[in-house]
This record gives sequence, C-alpha cells and structure tokens, in this order.
Amino acid sequence: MNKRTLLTIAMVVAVALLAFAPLQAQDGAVLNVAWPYTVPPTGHFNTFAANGMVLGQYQDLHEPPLAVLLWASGEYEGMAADSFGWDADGNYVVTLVDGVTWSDGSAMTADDLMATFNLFRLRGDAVWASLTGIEKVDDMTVKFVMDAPSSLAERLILITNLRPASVYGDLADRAAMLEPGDEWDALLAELTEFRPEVPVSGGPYKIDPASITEANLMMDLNPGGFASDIQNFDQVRVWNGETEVVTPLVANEELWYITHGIPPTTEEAFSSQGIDIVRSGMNNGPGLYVNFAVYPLNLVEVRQAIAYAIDREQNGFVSLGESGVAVEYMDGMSDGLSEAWLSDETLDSLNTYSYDPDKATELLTSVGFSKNDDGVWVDDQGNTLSFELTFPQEFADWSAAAENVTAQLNDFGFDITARGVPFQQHPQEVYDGNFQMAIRNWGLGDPIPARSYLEAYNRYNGQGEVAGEAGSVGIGFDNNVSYSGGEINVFDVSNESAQGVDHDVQAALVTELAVSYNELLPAIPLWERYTNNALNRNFLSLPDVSDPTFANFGGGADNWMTYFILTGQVAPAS
Amino acid sequence: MISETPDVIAATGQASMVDRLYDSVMNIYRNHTFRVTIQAIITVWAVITFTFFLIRLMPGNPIDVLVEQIMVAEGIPYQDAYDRVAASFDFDPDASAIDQYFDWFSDVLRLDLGTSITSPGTRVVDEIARFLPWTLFAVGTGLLVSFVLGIVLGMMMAYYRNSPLDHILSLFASFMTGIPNYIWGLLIVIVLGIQFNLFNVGALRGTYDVSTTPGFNLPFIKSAFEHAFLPIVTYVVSTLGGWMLNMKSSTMSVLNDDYVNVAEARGLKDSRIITAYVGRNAALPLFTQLTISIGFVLGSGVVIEEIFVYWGLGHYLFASITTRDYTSMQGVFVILVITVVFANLIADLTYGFLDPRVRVSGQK
Amino acid sequence: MNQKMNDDVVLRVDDLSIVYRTKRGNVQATTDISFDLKRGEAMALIGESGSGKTTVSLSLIRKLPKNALVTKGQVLYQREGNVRDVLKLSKRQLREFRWKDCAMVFQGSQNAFNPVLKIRKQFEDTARAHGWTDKEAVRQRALELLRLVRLDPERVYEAYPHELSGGMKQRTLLALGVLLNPQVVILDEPTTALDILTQRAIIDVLNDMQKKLNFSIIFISHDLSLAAEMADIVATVYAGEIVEIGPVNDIFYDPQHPYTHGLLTSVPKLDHEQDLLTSIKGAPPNLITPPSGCKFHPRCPYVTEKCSVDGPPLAGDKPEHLAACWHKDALLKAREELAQEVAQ
Repeated sequence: MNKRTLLTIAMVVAVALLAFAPLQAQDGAVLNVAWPYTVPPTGHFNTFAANGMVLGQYQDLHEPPLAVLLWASGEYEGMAADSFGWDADGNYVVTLVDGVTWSDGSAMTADDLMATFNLFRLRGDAVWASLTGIEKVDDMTVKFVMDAPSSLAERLILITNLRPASVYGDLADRAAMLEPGDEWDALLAELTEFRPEVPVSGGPYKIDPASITEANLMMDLNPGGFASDIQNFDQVRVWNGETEVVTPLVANEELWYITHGIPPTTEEAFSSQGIDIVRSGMNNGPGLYVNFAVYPLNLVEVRQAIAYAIDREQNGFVSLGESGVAVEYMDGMSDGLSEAWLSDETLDSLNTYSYDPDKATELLTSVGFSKNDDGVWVDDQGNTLSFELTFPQEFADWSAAAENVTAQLNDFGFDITARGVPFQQHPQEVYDGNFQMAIRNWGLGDPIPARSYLEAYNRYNGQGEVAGEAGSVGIGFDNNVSYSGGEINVFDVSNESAQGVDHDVQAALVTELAVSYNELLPAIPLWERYTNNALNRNFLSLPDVSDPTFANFGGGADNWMTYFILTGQVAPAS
Repeated sequence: MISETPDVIAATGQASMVDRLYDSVMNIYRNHTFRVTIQAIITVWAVITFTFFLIRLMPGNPIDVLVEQIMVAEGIPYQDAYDRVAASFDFDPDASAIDQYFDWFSDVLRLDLGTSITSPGTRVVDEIARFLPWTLFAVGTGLLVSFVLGIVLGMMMAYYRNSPLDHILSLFASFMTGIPNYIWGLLIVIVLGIQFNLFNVGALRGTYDVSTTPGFNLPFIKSAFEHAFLPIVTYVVSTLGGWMLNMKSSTMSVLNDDYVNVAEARGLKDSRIITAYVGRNAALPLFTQLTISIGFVLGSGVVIEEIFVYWGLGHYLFASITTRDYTSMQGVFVILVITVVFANLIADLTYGFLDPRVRVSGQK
Repeated sequence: MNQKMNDDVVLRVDDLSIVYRTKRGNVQATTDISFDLKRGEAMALIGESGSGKTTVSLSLIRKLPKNALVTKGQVLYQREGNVRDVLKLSKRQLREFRWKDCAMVFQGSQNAFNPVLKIRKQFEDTARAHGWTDKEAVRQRALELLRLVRLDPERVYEAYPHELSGGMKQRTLLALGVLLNPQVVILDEPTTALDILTQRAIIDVLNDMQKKLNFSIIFISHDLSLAAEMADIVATVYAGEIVEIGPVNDIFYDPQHPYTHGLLTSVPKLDHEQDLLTSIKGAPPNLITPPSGCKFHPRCPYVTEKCSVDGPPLAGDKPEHLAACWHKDALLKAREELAQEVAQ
C-alpha cells in the first residue's frame, strides 16, 4: 500500500460518512405543538404524581377541564361540566355532560369527579381548604360541601382536569375514608408510586404510549372523548423540550405553536419569517424587593424614591423587548387586574411613580439625605446608600432587569453592586433574609387578585422556607400596616378578598390592598411579563388575534389555545 | 523472561530455574493486577462518597425546584405548590446527610441505587438502563470513528509533512479542536439543518424511530444509526483534530526512529511498514488517551444530548441536576465513576498486550 | 569507465557525485567517487564525520535523504553476470534489490528492531517481503544464522527486542543482514556504542561469517583499528572525495596522503607513546563553498601555492594504491623524520 492508496481510503471513508444522509417526510392532518415532558421510566401516566405525562396546558386535551374562565368577560364556559353553580345552602354543584366515554370504554360519570377530588384531598390540594366534603348526588352530579361559598373555591373546582375512576377509583375510594395518619401517608406514597400501564383519555385526543420518544409524542383522535367530534386534526404531535430545543423546529416550520418564552432576537427572526408573536399579560413579573432590616431601605420615602428613579419602560424593554411591559398602577396587581377590579376613581388616585429623578431627589432630601463629593447619596446617619442586589443568574430576563436597575440607580446616586446567584439558591437567600436587595417575582398568573399579593405578603415575608411554618425572616415587612385608609393586616385582607361570592365586597377589599400597596411599596414592581407565543398561521387556522379569548393567558388552566381546540376552532390552514 | 545474556544455548539443567523465575514473575503479575484492582475500588468508593456530600451542598433541594416550576406552569401560589410537592416526595430536607449516606451506601453495596426523588417509585437502575445504552452507542461509535480517522489522517500528515496537504489538514485540525463540541452541535443544527435544510431537524431527534421494533433487525439498526448520526458527527468533529495532531507528532517521531529506516532498507513493502512498523507504534501512546477521553466525552455529552434531543446518560444527569434529584444524580455518578475508573484499569491491565515493553516493567 | 566488469567485481561505484539541497545552498556531499568491490572482499571507508562516507554508503542502497540529488555517476551491482545500476531501478525493483542484494547494518542498531514485534516476526517480515513465505524454512535459516553469531537461537528468535542486550541486538541484526544471502553487506559504524569486549566479539563474528558465507563488506568507520583488523581495502574519504585508496597494509604502513597520515597518527596505539600523536589542525571544510584546488590544502602541513589552484589526480606508482596529492615526497620525508624520532 503506497501513500496514494492511503489517501484514497481516507477519502472513501469521509465520503461514506457524508453520504449517510437520512431524510424523512411529514404526514397529513397533524397539529404540531410543544411541551416539555420526561420520557419513561422517569415519566409515566400517573397525572397525580410528579413527572406524570400531564403535558401542561395540553392536559386539557386528554383530561378535560370542568370549565374555562373567559378572562375578558369573567364568565365560566362549561366544558366537561354541563351545569355548575351555587345551591341555596352555599354548596357548589357540578353536573357533567352526558355521553362522553373514556378511551378504556368506561363512561364519564360523577364517579370520576368523586375520584379526582378524593385524591386531591389525599394529596393536600388547596381546594380542600375550602371544602368540608363531597357528595355524589346522582350519576352525573356532585355536590361540593363547604362552610361558606367563595369565588376562590369555585375557581379551584372548575379548573379541575377530570381523571378516570376506572384507573384511580380504587385508590380514591380508600382515600375517601381516611384521616391524616400513618395509613394516610402510606396511601399517599402508594398514589405517588402508582404507575398506570396505559394513559386513559376522556378528551378529544389520547396519548399513544408507543409513540413516546425524547423528540415528541403523538396524541391520536379519541372517538367518544369530550369534543372529539368537532376536531379538525387526526393527531396532535407534542414536541418535547425547552426553548433552545424547540426554537429550531419553529424556524423550520415543523412546529407551529409554542408557549415557551423566547428572547427578543428570536422573536425578530420569527417575525421576519412570517410567524406571529401573540402576547397576553401574565399577571406577574420581576420586582425589586428590599430587606426591611437594612436601614434605610425600611423608610417608605427611600422605596418611593427608588420607584421614581427607575425608568420601568426602559427596564422592561431591555429585559424582554415588547413582552416586558412597564407596570403602570404600582398596586401589587397587574394593570389588567387593576382595571378589572378597581374603580376609575381609585385608579386615578394611585401614584404611578412615573420616572422622575427630581421627585426622587426631593424625597431623599426630605428625610435628611444628601449627596457626597463623589455624587453618592449619604443617609442621615452618614452612610452611603451602598447595597448589593442579587438575582437568579440563570434567568436571562431577570438578569437583564437586575443589571439595568443597578445601572439606573447608580446613575441616580446609589452605589449598588449586582450579584448573580444560582436560581435554586436565590429564593432561599430571600426566605432567610440573607440579602439587601433582590429581584424576585411579584403577582401570580391567576385571575383572582388576592393571589397576586401572596408573593410579597406570604411567600417572601416570613412564610417562605416551609410554608405555614413561621420563623424565617424574609423581607421583614410588617403585614400590619397603617396607610391613608386606616390600619389593616394586608395578609388577612388578601385572604378575605377571595372569600364569598359578592363581587362588590371583594372589590372593596382589593381596593384596600391596592391603595395600601401603592402607598407603602412593600416591593417595587418593574414590569409585567407578557407571553410571546410563536404562532405560525401558515399552517394553523384559528380566530384572529382580536378575539377576546386571547386575553386568556392561562399558565395551566384557561389557555386560549386549548380553549380553541376544545371548541373546534383550530384547523389546518388551507 | 530473558534478563541476562546467555551466549550459548542454556544447559538443560537451567530450565527448571527459568521455570521458577517465570512462576515468581507471574506471581508478581497477579499481585499487580490485584493491587491496581483494589486501588480502583478504593478510588470508586472515595469519589462516590465525595460526590454524595458534594451534591448535598448544592444550593436548593428537589422540593424547592419543583415548587418554582409548578408555580410558573400552573399559576398557583407558593403554598399550594409547596404542599402538593412536599406531599408527593419522599424527601426530608432536614434529614442528616450522614444517616442518608449510610442508608444509601448499604443499598449500593446490594447493587440497589434507590428510587428517584422527583419521580417517586421509579428505580434509578431502570432509568440508567433506559439512557446509558444510547450514550455508550453514540459516544462509542463517535470515538471509534474519530480515533480511526484521526490515526489515518494524522499519519498522512506526518508522511506528507510540510506539503500543502499537511498544512491544510493541520489548520483544519487546530480549528476543529479549538471549537467546543456544543458549538459544533449548534452549528450543525443551525447551518446544515435550518439554513441549508440538509436534513429535517425534528425527524432526527430521539434515539430511534418508534415505528421500528428494537432488536437485531435492519430497520431498527438503520434508524438507530440515523438518529445517532448527528451526535456522532459532533463527537467525531470535535475530537478528530486532537487525534490527528497527536498522531501526526507521534508518527513523526516514529518515522525518525531507526527501525523504520531499517525496515525500508530491508525492502519491506510500504503497506507492511505503514501498518506494523509506523502505524501500530505511533498509535500506542494514543490508546491511553483514548481511555481518558471516554470519561471526557461522557461528561461533555450532556450538552450534545440536549442540543440534538438524543437522550442518554448526559441528559439524564443534566435533568437530575436541574431538578436536584439526589438519588438519580448519585446513581449516574456511580456509573460514571465506575466506567471511567474501570476503563482506565482495563487499559492499564491490557496495555501490555499492545506494547510488550510495558509487559515487563508492569511486572516489576 | 565502461560497463564491462570482471566477474569477481560485485559492486562498482563510478564517478558518483551527490549534492544536498539546503536552504543555505547546495552541499557538495561527494565528488567523483569511484571504486570497485570484489567478491569476498572487505572494504573500509574511513574519514571524519561529515566527510561524506555515510552519504556514499546510503547511495549504495539508494536510501539517501529526500533533499539529496545524484548529479553524476552510477552504482553498478553485478550478480550472475547481470549488471544493474541501482540508481536506475524502478521503485519495485529497488525494494526487491534491498537486503536481497545489499543489506545495510546501520549505525545505532540498538533501535534497528521494531520494539513491539518479536524478532521472529521481523525475520519473517523480511523474508516475506522478498517472496519467501515458508515460515519454517525461514526459522531454520534464522536459527542457523543466530547460532553463527553465537546467540542462543531459540530464545532470541522468540524474544522481543527489549529483552536483548545491546551486543545481542547487534549480532541479531548481523544475522538478519545475511538472511537473504546478499552479495554485499554495508556496516555503518558496526561497533560504536558497544563496550570493548562486545566490539571484539562482533569483529570475530563478522570475520567468521564472512569466511563462511563469502559476501563482500563495505564498512564505514572512523575507527582505524577496526579497519586494520577487518578490511582488505581501505579508502580514505575527505570532503566528499576519495583521497587515497589501497590495500590495508599499504595504507597503514605507507600512507601517501597527508590526511590519511594525519588520521593514522591520531589513532591511539598501545605500542606508541601517547605524546607523539599529532592530530590534524583545523576543521573539515564547508562543502557549500569548498576550498579551491586540493580541498585539504587549508589544513595541510605541506601546502604550496599549486595546491590551492589545481586539484591533484588520484594516482600512484602501484595501480592498486592511489592517492591524490602533489606532495607525496614531502610526506614521505616527514614520515621518515618521525620514525627516527620514535626510534630515539
């Protein structure tokens, strides 16, 4: 063998490697969406346990919800629930639609609803804080017994995804008779370790277990399942993966709709390709939390000055482009919720803390602070306003927000150092009060305003480490506040505001929360996060973006896409 | 062996002495094997013990991580999410790490790696059995192809040193080694997959086509190779340059060795010289590097497996770390440590078969 | 010279001139080298390092470095009446020629064996490359040769090179060298890097083998005592030229060239006083721009103006003893004076 032969062999090997070019074709009426999941054996078909194949919002397609809240109108539209409402005794009654069968052939009945809620009780779901019991009224009807009606309980009941009694009935029946104790714990362990062999669907599509790979899984049309007769697709393909994994698929037009948050540059690339970006407010976003144990951050004037000294529009834009929308009302809720729950009069009275460095200077001067020769503010005790601002370093948008807040406040005369912390550790530092300033979230992706205040008043304020167990310091904000409307305990008021069913009473309490928050600023909201769902209308036909249903951001429940699918409004583009 | 110079044929009486010498040498050899095996076991124990405590020092715990995830995904308050997660995980964040260690380690001795924290009831062994073969397949094939190609190309560079071919290949090799493998992965997806549309990005994800039946049949094997193709190409591209450059310098030093010159003067055919005199001798030092690189590639496969959604042990480790699934992480580390340590051990014990010079020094 | 060669001449080098192309210029490594080697004869090429003696030996098996260029001359081998010019062989012919017609035992044969192959394999490789595939026959022949070089044949044949001592390797290589029954064996510094006893043993083995196998030897050395013991013919090489060639006794007892004389007086001889040694002044010339006329003239004690103008021809009173010098008389006189001094 001479050198030329050697060269030839090497070339042949290289060409053989390159020639190995596999290609594959696309098939017919398939709806391509995405949600990250875990493949078996880690992933499984027990939707009560962690790592179950719930598929996020697409759970609605195989375990239908009782109802969907239309956020724009505030009305519930029944899905698996045919009728629902309060009875004369203040209990909630739900009747299921007739004629739906699960994919294992069993009929969808009140037993399924009973099984679902009995296991919620075993699992300790929040809805049972309001319930005292459940009763099967007839084959299709269940009564939810409670001491006092509340709109929160109603919501928690109606967003429930129904599970089949044929699968979970046995566990549920045993759970129904138990009280907390060793047996209860053992049954709970049994529930979490329970592994149904096949997924059983009551919705329009059912998961094909044989199709599951780490790339995607197929859901086939489920004849007999809820809304299966009005579907325009034969199959739904759920692509697996996080943002960086699904992005190339969207660019390649193999995937037509994603709910993953995407960076502004990706948005631009998609837009130039003719892919729509759909935005809905998510009712939450990053805020600037301060530690009240650190003087002078506990002074309301200082927090207000900080609010004035930050240009929130700029902060939102540098962090998340058009999906980072500056918060206007600064009352602890999203602007959407504020407008829905507060009177015009109240809205007008709220301080919007528009960017105004002069106003901030005025506030700091009013408490005896002044700037030193270096242009840094010095407090009345002679210390410079030097703080450390921590943020979860893995979250790109929050990191950008933190860097920008730091830059803006330092321009104004603060001396702030930003420090990134692993995202798993960051909340713990805040729970422990081991911080000076921190970027954490305000609000919650839920239409009930009371829940938006839980982050500031409950999670980060002394309850975080182990919920319900007092002891950790958190931000150290005193929930007993005194403001222009009097003295209230904000945590109690927020809980109260979700009770009962009288909207006016609830609104009055929400107003107290909003006004006191606006005056005291326990945390400074920066911007509200909007979704930037990529939607490729070249492949998908569905209502125009002017449809009010697009207000339904719905992290888990009420998602507009699943609503459109369940109501047969999504079809292949012609 | 022959340690001294018997100038004449050994007398028959000396044969028994030689036998005895041989026996004692074999004893030392057995002792050497025994000793390095014990060392390997101690290394494995020390490393997995160290990692056990190290991963418990990582910030966060499985509950907190999942709570955060559920809050974002479902828009439910912290307390609701916490209650639900804490109820379903058999995990006590306040338990003593020492007690956990002894429990866990006694299980490991019984070859039981425990159950996953985040997916209660799932045995870690089952999870590893699900993911490990794919990693071994892709990494093994990739390393093999890159090693063989690297040796052939490296030898060509040495044979044609200072020619345009050598310059081009050297540039190419330095360029390839300079770029980390995840960049190669991204380049392949973005440039070849999206810009030039050479392949269907989604269709090549996963480890095999579910329409085939796993087993020894052509469609399955073909689909396994198709799905592993891009990760393998990435492993090859990112490690090839190193082998080429190593092989080039190794070959050049061998080419300067007298025995190659003598072999040519002996009128041996080029093919025989290239394979048995140059190739084999130049490749010998690279075998040691091969065992070391198995560990490296297994580790760096994490990102590659994410990029191509080719889930093997790397992805599983990544997911376990993200969710702080301690038992799963430990399971993977046990497997990784054993793989790397024993790969080195086997290399150590078998190197003598490749290089007779070591056979002697290994015994002493 | 013509192509006709006497039957007993196995190798004729004819006007061989070789240059090395280097970045600094062309190095005239050898100039017009000519000699004949007869069957069974041993010829020593002696000279300082850099004199071109190794270049000559490498050209005999066409194993010159890539940058070498033969500008003139022929290297003719005669076997069974056929005369072939090695420099004109095809690649394939050359490969078959090597070792079968002319084997070369290199300097530093400590590393001449592939360390990862058994000696047996390397014998078999050599045999097979020349179409000899009967392993058992190879084995018998190899054992015989190993016995001839006074090794324990069975053991050595199955050994790895690192299991052999330096002297054993050298002897094994000699055995390998004659495996294919070559006509000519080139030995490049066959005894350097060996201790004195081993050197002795090697010389004995060589003499013994040559007697038994009747091949011709060319050996390259700067060791004149070795040349004295082994060679029939000695050629002194200086600056790429043969400056003196002749039978070993003539060269040692009647050197005609001042350089040969200088080399002889540099040799430590046990029967002479050490302080009588005269070494040659100066250093070998730069062969990129060699001196004019006689290349030795800058170092020659008998130099005259003529020497720097004209190169002397290789000539002599006896046809078998030739030297290239204008002043053989002056050298003769100087040698007589030296002999008187020693006598006193």
